[in-house]
Amino acid sequence: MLYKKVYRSMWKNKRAYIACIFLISVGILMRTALGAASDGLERAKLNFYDEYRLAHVYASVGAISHSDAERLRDIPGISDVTARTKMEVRAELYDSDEIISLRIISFDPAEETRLNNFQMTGFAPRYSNDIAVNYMFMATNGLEAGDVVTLIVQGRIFEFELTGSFLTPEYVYIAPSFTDILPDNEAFGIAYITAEAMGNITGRHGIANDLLFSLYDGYEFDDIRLIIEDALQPYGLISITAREDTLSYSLVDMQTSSMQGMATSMPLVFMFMAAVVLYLMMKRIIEQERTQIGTLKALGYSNGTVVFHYVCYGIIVGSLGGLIGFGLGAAMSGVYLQMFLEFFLLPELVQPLSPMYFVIAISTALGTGVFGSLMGAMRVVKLSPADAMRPESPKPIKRDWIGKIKPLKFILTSRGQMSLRGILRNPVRSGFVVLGVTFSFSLLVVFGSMEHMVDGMIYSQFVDQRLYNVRVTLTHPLAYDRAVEAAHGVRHITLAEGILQMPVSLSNRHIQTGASITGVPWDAQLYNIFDTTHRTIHAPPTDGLIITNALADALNASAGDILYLESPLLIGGGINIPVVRVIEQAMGSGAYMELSALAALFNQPAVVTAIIFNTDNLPYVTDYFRDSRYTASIEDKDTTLRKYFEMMDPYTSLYVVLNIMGAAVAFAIIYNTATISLSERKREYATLRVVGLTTDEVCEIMRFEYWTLSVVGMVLGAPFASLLIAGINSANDTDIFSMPTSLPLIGYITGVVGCSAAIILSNWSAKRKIAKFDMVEVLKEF
Amino acid sequence: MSSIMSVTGLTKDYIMGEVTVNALRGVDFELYEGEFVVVLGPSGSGKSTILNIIGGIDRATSGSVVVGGKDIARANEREFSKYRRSAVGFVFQFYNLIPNLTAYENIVLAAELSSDPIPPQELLEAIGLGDRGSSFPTQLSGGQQQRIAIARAITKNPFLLLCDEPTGALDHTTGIQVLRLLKDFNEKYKKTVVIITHNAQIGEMGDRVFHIKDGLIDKIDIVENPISPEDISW
Repeated sequence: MLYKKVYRSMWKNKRAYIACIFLISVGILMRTALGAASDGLERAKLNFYDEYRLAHVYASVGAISHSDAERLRDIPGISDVTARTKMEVRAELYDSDEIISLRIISFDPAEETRLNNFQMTGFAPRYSNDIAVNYMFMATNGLEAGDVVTLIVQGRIFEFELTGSFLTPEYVYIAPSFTDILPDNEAFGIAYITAEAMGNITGRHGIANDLLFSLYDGYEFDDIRLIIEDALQPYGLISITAREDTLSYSLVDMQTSSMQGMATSMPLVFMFMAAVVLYLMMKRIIEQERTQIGTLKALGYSNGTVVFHYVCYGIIVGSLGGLIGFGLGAAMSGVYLQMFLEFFLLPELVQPLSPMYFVIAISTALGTGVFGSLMGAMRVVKLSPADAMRPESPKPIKRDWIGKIKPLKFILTSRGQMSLRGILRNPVRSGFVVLGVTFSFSLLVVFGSMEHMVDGMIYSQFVDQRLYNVRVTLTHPLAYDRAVEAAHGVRHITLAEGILQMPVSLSNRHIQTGASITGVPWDAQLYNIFDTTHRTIHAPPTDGLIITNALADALNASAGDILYLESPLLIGGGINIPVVRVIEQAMGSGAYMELSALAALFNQPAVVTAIIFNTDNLPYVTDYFRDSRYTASIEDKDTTLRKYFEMMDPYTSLYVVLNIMGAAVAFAIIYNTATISLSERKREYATLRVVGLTTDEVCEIMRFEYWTLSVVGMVLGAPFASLLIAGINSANDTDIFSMPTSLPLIGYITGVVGCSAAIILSNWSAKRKIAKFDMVEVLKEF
Repeated sequence: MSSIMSVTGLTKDYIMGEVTVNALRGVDFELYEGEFVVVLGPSGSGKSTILNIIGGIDRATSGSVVVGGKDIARANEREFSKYRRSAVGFVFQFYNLIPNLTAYENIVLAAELSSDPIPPQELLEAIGLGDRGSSFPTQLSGGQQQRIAIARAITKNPFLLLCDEPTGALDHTTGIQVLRLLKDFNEKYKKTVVIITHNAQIGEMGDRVFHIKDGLIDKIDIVENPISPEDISW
């Protein structure tokens, strides 16, 4: 029979319970959606890596014959070697003005067991004029099998026929480099051609410049790195990289681990709040039902039965929250997976909604419900039936702080003083209101900031750092003066400069990584070495390197450390170079130096690998450089930004959902704490009305109290939001991305507006309830 | 008549801040099977405290309450619940019905606790509310609510029915109806009924009347010819 009491009581207060169910649902939704999506991504990734034999180690050399490469199999620990040629070339497509870069990779069609194999749609290239491109490049450019793809290599033109598209574990995420990590599927792609076709292009048949190694189980990259380095020195070793440090692998890894982190931490926050709200509700119910508890006990119901009766509220809330959250989470995980497909090119993104997710969802939700309600219901045990029949005796008042602070008597009206006393004399209730507003505010700030933070990260890269309109990457380095003067000679170029990008290997003691050093002219006007956190610009150093925080983390280096720089272009081996400063940058990883000083390290005069410039006629200069034999690729900043925002479109709707969710959660918490607070003070407010105060005057007391607590909550919410974002950032920080640590103003505005709206709505609802009080009935209750 | 309860040296102190209030200061009495006892006394005399302690909803500071050879004043929480569940039925001044349960469900709530309950529907008919079983407490008058409360107390078939000012919130006519119900239960089922009241007229329908004053039993009157409830007026 007590179950009927539970259902009816819950139905009567359905809004409060729905709010609580909603909180649990959101937590479970996040847990299920992010957990299932990240597991799906992880599983698809591992299957793909395994099935298509992703290499463990990558080496880039000047030139090595296939027969010499075969001999590397003899190195202990190496199970397989694949030798290929890889180069970046310009490409043109029929009916497209886009200036395209393709990374062409050779393969031997006869080799069955090659490393970094690919999954074809259509046919794999067989003949010397066949070419296959990556799936997203083909789809974005609207290509079909049979289309012609023209490659331009050092001014020579090679025409290929498209045989199909592929997916490969080596390029699950496709971007040009660590310094240029945004995907642009229209302008940058990967292509496979036969080794014979590559020989035709390079004029060097049987020669490779890129090696892939797989390792036997039990061997690690560090075990064989030095041996491979020694073996490859005669072939002009440029770089050697573990697969964990490649762009695609590390980005996919980052995404899965950050999602797994979020899937664990975010639900905990929601569950905690749901448990707190449930506790408060139970506490309120038990206070309201003192007499009923006394009656039940007088009838002979045991403490255990009565406690269980109240825990049933939590069981129902938890079960419903768990079921709804699981259902929505299961649906959302599919949406998440679809979004990943925009970025990560995997053959199948399975959604492993195993029964375990259901078990975790339900047990977490139930645990929260039971814990929250049990904490509240334990008061029942202490209540003797006879005590329960009597109204609760008022708590003794120890000190009257308000009375002691004399100016308050002049500032506040008697109703204001009453509100303030109400706050101070009920520290637990006040504390929970503050906690609810703190949590709601911080959630709104974080959700309201997300989109702006990600956009800000991109803007800082493109707007604050790169002040030019266009960058033309050259096919080979050119003398600085000659290149810049030539650019200035082009009509419609208003200002031109050059930059030098040098791929090198940097070591700090035993830690080594590949990096790119950007040489920037000392008087550069179009390129800033910009610290995105501190918003400072630094002059390019001549006596050392400025390195980004991501590279500093990778090398465990800080300002003052001496790095060891290696490059095949360095005559006489490596050199030591100091780190003069570490700067924070939101995206990418790299190092900076003054251009002439960088060139001098390599015993070169000032040279450039890219021209950067501003123009007042973009189409004209684009056409001009398209026809130049020195042009490898052209990047137009505005187009790149536009493409990025197009690519982020699906995320915009996700941010909208997050904001709505944040607002709903905030309202749920604030509404519930306000309702609980009101019901606890029902008798007090009814008495005030009996004394003669109008509804408005009573509401004024309530509003003053609630706004005072809310302002405190919002003020505390600001550092809490920073903590929350720091947590999210630490889960997302990688060698490639680091989100800004400071929250944008718009986030705080969202928080204040959202919380204020929820408070106003709650106060309005409370006012209606106060107006409807049946004073006689309320005063009879105890 | 055989004794069903023996109360000896019962005291109860309430500590209110720095003040200790001696609500009971050594109360002794016996209750017998099938008798109708009325406890009279002014407000604050300790009559409700006696009821609470012998009903197992409050604990004595000292003294004993022996029921069936066992001192319930020394019972643990589990034994206390068991005692309330099987031995006593309570009727309160303000009914204390569960507002979310219907009249019938309120009675069933208690019946479910008993191994030998009086059928709730039979009781509903007996109290004249057979057609109001599906009404919620707020849809019933005070007298109807009190009758449901009595049915709820009786359905467990307890050997002791304790009533705290059962007519305190009722008008005269309704009060008489309620007293009739209690007398019927006492006579029909041969159960002991203890009524607390400050209304001296009600004392005339009891077999014995306990007069409580300042936490002590001032005197116990034996009523030779108890009158019927309908003959009481106030």
